Amino acid sequence: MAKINLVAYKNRLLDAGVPYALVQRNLRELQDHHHDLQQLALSKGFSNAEALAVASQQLGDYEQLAAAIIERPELRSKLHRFPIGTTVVLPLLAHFFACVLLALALLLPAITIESMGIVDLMRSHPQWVTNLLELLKILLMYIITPIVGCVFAFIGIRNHVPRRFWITGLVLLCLLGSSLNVHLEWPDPETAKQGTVGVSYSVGYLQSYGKALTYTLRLATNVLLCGCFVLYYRRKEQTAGIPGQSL
Amino acid sequence: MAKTNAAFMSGVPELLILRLLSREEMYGYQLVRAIRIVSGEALDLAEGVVYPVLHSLEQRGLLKAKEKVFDGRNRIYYAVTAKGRKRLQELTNDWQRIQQGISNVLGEHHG
Repeated sequence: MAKINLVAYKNRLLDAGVPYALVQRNLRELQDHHHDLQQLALSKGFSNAEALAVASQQLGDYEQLAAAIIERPELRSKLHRFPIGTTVVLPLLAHFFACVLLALALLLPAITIESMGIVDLMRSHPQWVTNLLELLKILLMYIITPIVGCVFAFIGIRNHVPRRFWITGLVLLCLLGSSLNVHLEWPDPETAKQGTVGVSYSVGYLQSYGKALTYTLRLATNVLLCGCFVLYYRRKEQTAGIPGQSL
Repeated sequence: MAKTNAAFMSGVPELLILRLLSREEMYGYQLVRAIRIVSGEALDLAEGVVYPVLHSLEQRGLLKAKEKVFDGRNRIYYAVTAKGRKRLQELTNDWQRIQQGISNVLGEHHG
């Protein structure tokens, strides 16, 4: 009776489109079940090696166990059933909504401006507040794309979604994310001017040399950050083991 | 003939699992033992194959899973939901109808 190589079993299920969480749970249940069978065999007087072999035989072979899951379409992940929607379109939508939400979150302090004593700060050091706001805006413009990109690459790699889908999604996200501009206007309590928030996309190549350079730099940064994460995480996934390794 | 057998047997694991779990919640190993004992060892599955059925039933909302500690180990227990009880009733009725039909045919043949 051949032992079940858990890493190979896990990869087989993930390649077939079974969701990562379900694979992990199945592995855990099989390991527990194997343990129980082994304990039962030991209680019947089998030696340790015999008990292991009996437990593996009763659990079922690798092919049988994997096929029993793979043949059930309801156990396939949406990532594999709709790869374009989930790994190409969804990251772009998520990026847009994350930008809007974070831009709104930046304006949140302005809503509670009275209670936070920012009014006094704005009166005494208006430049500080303006600079702080600019800093937050730049951080938002530079970090949101790599974060969204890494999250979706992580999901794609972990669930063994075919590379062509999530790489396409990542490239489109970097192109779009690099053209992101966040417009924020801080409310002015002196003049009772309301704050505004806006999100726009502009490539910059058609506008000016400076804007084209900025766009290129941001694109390079996003590609570099996302690329480094992908290389790191793929390597980590490939070398990841499972406690016990085989049943 | 094998195809007919498969068709007859296709809902059997679902029926057995729902029936046993409707009495009390169990984890996979317990459930396989219970199937073996209740069926008088007539049904002897490859034990690991019970999990895809459990996951599928859970996906369809017929079972719910929760973690509980038993004997110092974290186990995933399965219990039947209200939807699962309704499905169990349907499957039981279907199975009894088939059983009645077969009994009638066998009775006529013997008669």
